Order: sequence, then C-alpha cells, then structure tokens
Amino acid sequence: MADDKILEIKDLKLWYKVYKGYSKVLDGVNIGVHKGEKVGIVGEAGCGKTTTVKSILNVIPEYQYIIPDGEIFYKGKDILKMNMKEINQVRSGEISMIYQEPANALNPVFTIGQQMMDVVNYSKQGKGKNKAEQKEMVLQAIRDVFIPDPERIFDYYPNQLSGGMKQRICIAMAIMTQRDMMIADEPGTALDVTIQDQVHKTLNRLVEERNMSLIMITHSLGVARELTDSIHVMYAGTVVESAKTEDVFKDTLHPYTVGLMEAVPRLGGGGIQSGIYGAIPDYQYPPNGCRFAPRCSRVTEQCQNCKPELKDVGGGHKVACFNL
Amino acid sequence: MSDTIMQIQNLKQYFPVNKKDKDGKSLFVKAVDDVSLDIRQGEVIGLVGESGSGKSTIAYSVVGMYRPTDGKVLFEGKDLNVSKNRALEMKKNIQIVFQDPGSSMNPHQTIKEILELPLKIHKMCADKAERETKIRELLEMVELPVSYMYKTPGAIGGGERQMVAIARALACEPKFLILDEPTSALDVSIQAKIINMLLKIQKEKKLTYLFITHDLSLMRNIATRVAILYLGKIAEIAPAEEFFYKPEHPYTQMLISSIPVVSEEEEALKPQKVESTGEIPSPVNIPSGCSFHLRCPYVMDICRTEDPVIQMSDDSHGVRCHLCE
Repeated sequence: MADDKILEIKDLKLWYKVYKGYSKVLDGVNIGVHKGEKVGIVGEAGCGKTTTVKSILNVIPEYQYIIPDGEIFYKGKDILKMNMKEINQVRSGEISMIYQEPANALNPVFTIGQQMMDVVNYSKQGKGKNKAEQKEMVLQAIRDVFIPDPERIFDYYPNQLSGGMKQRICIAMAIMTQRDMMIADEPGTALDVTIQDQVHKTLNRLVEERNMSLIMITHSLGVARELTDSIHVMYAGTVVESAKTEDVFKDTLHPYTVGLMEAVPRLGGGGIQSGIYGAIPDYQYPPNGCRFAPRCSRVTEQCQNCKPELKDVGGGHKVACFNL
Repeated sequence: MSDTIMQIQNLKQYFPVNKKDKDGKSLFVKAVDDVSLDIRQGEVIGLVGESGSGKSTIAYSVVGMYRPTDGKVLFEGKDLNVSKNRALEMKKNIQIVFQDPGSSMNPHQTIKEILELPLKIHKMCADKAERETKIRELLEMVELPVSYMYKTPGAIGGGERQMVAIARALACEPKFLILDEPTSALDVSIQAKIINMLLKIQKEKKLTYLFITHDLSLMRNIATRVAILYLGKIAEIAPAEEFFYKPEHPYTQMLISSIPVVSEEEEALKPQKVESTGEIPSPVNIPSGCSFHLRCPYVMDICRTEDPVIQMSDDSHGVRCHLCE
C-alpha cells in the first residue's frame, strides 16, 4: 500500500511573515493520500487546515510565507521544488480545488458559461477542440451536478444563482476535465443543512465515479464521518490523530479528539459536555512542547518540554500524545 | 401549566421590494406570514429554519427593531407596539444577543464602556462606583477575568466576545432573552462552553429564552419546545423530545435526515431517509398552496392549491400539512 500514495506531505512547516517575526502556523504536518482514497482533515478554525491544502497547490502569495522544512510529493515529484510551468501543469491538469465560499470563488462580471469555457480552453482535453465541442463539455459538466436546464444557466451571472447552485457550479468546474485529485475546502459550510447534504452527495458520487482522490476539509466530525475513508485531526498546525474513519469514532485516543467529540451536540439529547477550555495558542510564540498542552486535561511535565511524535499504536492508527 | 410570558399573535412582517408584478401592484417579501406562538415563563423555545425562513425577522419584530405589518406581540399581557416608541420598561425586559460578536460591538470602546451603557440607560445603578461593581459581577457571571474590563473587543477571542455580548444583554436584568444564532460563528468546543453557561444563567435567573439556530442537534439538547419555520410560516411545533422521535411534517423529516451525525446510535434516530431535494424558494413569489409542495416527496393535488392550516394533534404538537389532517 505504501507505494501507491498519490500525494504525500512530509513534515511540512510553514511560517507566515508577520510584524516582528514569524507566525509559525504549520509545525510538522504529515498526511498521505492513496489513489482513490477520500481523506478528511478535521479541526477548528485557525488550526492550519486551509494553509496545508493551499500549500499543496502553492497558491499562497510568495512574499507572505517561508517554508523552513518539509516536502510535498505529488506522484513522486516535490511540488515545493517545481518551477512555475510545472506547478501550472499540476493546477490545470492534475489537482482541482473547491473553496469554502462559492460567492467569492466565481467572478461576478463574467457569466457562468464564460468562466467554465476558460477552464476547458486551458485544459489538456479541451485544447484542440472547437467552440461547439467545448460548450458541450461545459453543458455536460453542469448536467453532471444535477442542475436542470444547463443552457439557461450557461448565460447566467453568478449573482443570479443561489448559494447551493453556485457551489455546484464550482464542483462542476473542478470535475469538468479529467483530474486525479480534488481538494474540497469546507464545500458545505456556508450552506443550509439540506443543501449541504445535496452538495456533499453530488461531490461524493462524482469523486467515486471518476476514481479521484479527495481531500476534504471540514470542521464538522459528522461530515467527515459520512464522506471520508480516513481522518486526520489537526490542532494548532500539527496532526494529532490520524486513522481510518471508523477507528477515529470507535476508538478515540487523543485528548483533543476526545474533547472535540464530546462537544458535538448529539441528536439523542442528554445535554452538552463541557467542551475544551481555552483557545488556540499564539502562533508567534507557540508552546515549546506539545501545542495542546495548555488546554489538555492529561498534561504532564514531559508534554510541556518535548513535542510528541505521531506514533502508530496499531493498525495504522497514529496518535501524537505521550499519555494514552 | 406555567404562565404565558409572551404571545405572538398572527404576526406578519412584509417588506416592500423595488419591483412591480404584471398588473402594476407592488410586491412584498413576506418574511413572516401569520405566525402565532405562545411562549411560557421559564422555557427555552427553539426557532429553527433555513436561511430566508424568517427566524431572525421574528426576533427583530419582537425586540422592536421592526414595526409589525400586522398582528400583535403581547408581553405579560401588554401590547408591545401600541405607541410609536416602546416604553423604556419594555425595552429593558426584552434583550437580544446577535449572531456575529465581531460586528455587534463598537471596536473603539472598552468592554467596560460597552457594559456600562445599558446600566446608564436603564438607570440600574446610583453612581459610578456601583456601576463598576456591577460590571465586575457581570464579567464574573460569564466567567471572564475582571481585567478584561479595559480591553477592546478586537483584543479578545470570538468566544469571549460573545460572552461579553451575553453579559451586555443581561446587564439590565431582562426577563426575556432572544439569542439569534449565538454560537453559529464559533467552534464546537467553544460553543459547548457558551451553551452550558447560558443554561446555567437561565436556571439561576429564571429567564425565558427564544433561541434561534439552524443547528437541529444543538436544539435537541437545549430546547424545551421547537418550532420549525419554512418561508415565514411555522411548519411544525412540538416539545423537543417528541419533535425528534416523532417528526410528522415532511420538511422536518428532511431536515433531521440531512444532519451529519457522529455515531451509529444517532444514525438510528433519524427518520427513514427523506431525500433532500430542491432549495428554499424566493420569499417574493411564494408558491401557491402549501409553500413546501415543490420539494415535498409526498406531494398531493390538494397541496398545490390549498394552503394547510396548523393542526394541533394534541395539546402541544402542531403540524401544518395536508398529510396529517
């Protein structure tokens, strides 16, 4: 299994440049994605989920950050060492991304059709084709995401569509040409629960049909449980627990994951647990040892001085904690 | 049965839009359309609905930010909208906490100034020293360090900001508190803390909450009664437990079955899967008949022409659907 990893992030560190120093956001992230696997990255706001996936596509403006350490292998090649031309090839032919806010992801001054035609025009599949064939590809993509009457939608501007429709257009754009991997950054979070359900189902079906790999970012454990094969729980720029989805829910090990799980309101009732005290650390001056130590209930002296490694505790279930 | 503290009677809230229909009549957004609701002393009533269903509009009408187009809101038997300006006493008793703590507080004021304003307006304290003691008490009540008094909202975290907003609403000792999605901008671990604190305060002070949210599983854990809104009308209202075990309206079933859950036991609690389809239509042209018929899997001919009225199956469980008649 180890060899068919399509993407492997190895010990990635990423620091944002801020006034008087660096904001040390990512602190050794390790994530591997197999071919056809659906991977979830779960964590709270500000824990570095989006930064991690943005660094895969290299879309953070260059002057904003430095990467002191780490590698991102995509199909055996290190993305961080690629030149502009190679990265653009990855972006246009290999990995696609869906952003959280569909309203901001589409350009308001071009019609849906114009924007989607651009994607086709710059892809491998659409390059040699004439206008009519390219348009047919676009219409087919809109049909694939269950939007009725694609001809009409083709001439619409984004503001004429609802949030759910816009997000589906974004998905359509991402699946329109053959890609091997899709990154979805909280695709349902800005939407209502019924619409979110529909969008997730559409996404799931398309990814499975095309045998794509999926990285799904979400802050909701429920969404991750329904959509993914394996889960990486992130806290303050580190992966604290990673395992098969059912193992994470059956056999929750890291104190942060336990706290997160308890804080989720249950459909069966029974009140709400106390949650996790405190807030995410200041990234400019993060704690020396385990970054979760200031909020942890099982904290010992060792946690405050040493950083725990992500260790396998059996069956591919990895946890970064000294006190299990 | 406990006493009714607030009665919302046939509340209608229409907003004009800058458009005319074919016959030249001006059009309205029917944000709230004929909602009646009795709220009892000491209960937590949950209003749930998708965006555009009119949850917040009801809250704003109750708190007095809008004048109702039609209908009445009675608080302890007194009509809230008799004169143009609401009496100060009435304003004091009904307070609101907004969704986004980042934009509901003045970033240039310190927490002390923010908490001082309601105390001054409602003349809660005799002098400056007494006000300061009261502010200390308020901060302690929401479990924030007293030193936060001299910070600005920008200097503290989102969860703490929401705590300040709650303290501000409680400053003038209201009887009725409206919580308009107080935790939807926050993470679950912080949400849990705030919700527990709110429930504790509610018990201590015997408050009544009108809790607005789109998160049904949160509602399950805190509300005594739940009302589902769809396009400005109540679709179903029931005590929380019954609401989740015996949902009758197809829309409720659709909502509950689309919640992502974290365990097998919860999966079993979901009603038999009602596939969610379609989207909430624009409130400017509400479909004829039952407003839900475009998305309903059990749609019948009668639904397209006649709007159902709410039927109380027993004392507390009401459903607005032709299927359940």
